[in-house]
Amino acid sequence: MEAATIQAAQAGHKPSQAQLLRLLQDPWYRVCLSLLSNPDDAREATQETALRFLRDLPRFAGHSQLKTWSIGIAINVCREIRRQRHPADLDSNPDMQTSEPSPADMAGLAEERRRLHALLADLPPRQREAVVLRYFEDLSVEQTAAAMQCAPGTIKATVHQALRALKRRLQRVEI
Amino acid sequence: MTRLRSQIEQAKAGYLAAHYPGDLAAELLPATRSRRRWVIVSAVGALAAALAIAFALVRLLAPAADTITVTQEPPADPQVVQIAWSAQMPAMPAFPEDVSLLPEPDSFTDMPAMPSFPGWSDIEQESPTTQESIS
Repeated sequence: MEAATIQAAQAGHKPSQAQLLRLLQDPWYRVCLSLLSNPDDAREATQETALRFLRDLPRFAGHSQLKTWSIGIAINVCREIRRQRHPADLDSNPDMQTSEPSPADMAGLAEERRRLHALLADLPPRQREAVVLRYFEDLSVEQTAAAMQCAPGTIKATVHQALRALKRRLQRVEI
Repeated sequence: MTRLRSQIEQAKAGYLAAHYPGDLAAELLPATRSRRRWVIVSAVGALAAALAIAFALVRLLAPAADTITVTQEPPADPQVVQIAWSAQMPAMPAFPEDVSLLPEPDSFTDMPAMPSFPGWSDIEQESPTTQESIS
């Protein structure tokens, strides 16, 4: 992403804004889909992310990468949607398990998505966010911390807990 | 951990296979452009309508204004002009010709005398003092 394109988009240049949206729509959608496990919800969350991205773009100061900053917006949108759809599924309860997708949702998922969901389904929301950003989006610990708006040490601990939970689950399946 | 890594890699392949089903730029940006275009079209339409109404009003009121100017113009006949102006302007009140502003000379002799202040001698002769009247 060129700095000139970002600056032009910040100034309201529509072609530059369209260029940024086309670059970022797939990462946003992937993050939203992996966090919400529902294609319709993910599409809605991606559109809301794009609207907030365009609204807040003039205030982007460049302290982090634009992609990292915009994924932070997507994560906030997904958290809000989760709270609206599942009020009990709060981030303050890390042991809360996410609900399994309905048979209709599973029918709409491709084999890869099913594998993805099978991996992430048992993780609490925070651990799922950390795993998606660290291992799927290949963000650094600092970038993940910036996107999730927490300290890098918190990210390390969260990722460690997530990997341990996944390993336990894997051992249960093998047994 | 190797088994876990392989699971993560497989899940990552599924993760990267997902794409947004559409074009966000086409979905969001033209809406703003078309909204602005509607605002401009509405503004131009309102301006055109205002101009048309103003033009129609001018056309409607123009004959009445011509009539007024024609009636106010003095006719070609001088006699008619004189009558028209005399009808419009009020006549000056006529001043009586047989009244003179100067008083007549005989009127000065009929003026009453000025009252005189009594002198000291007149007072001594005619009015006694209080002491004398008592005694």
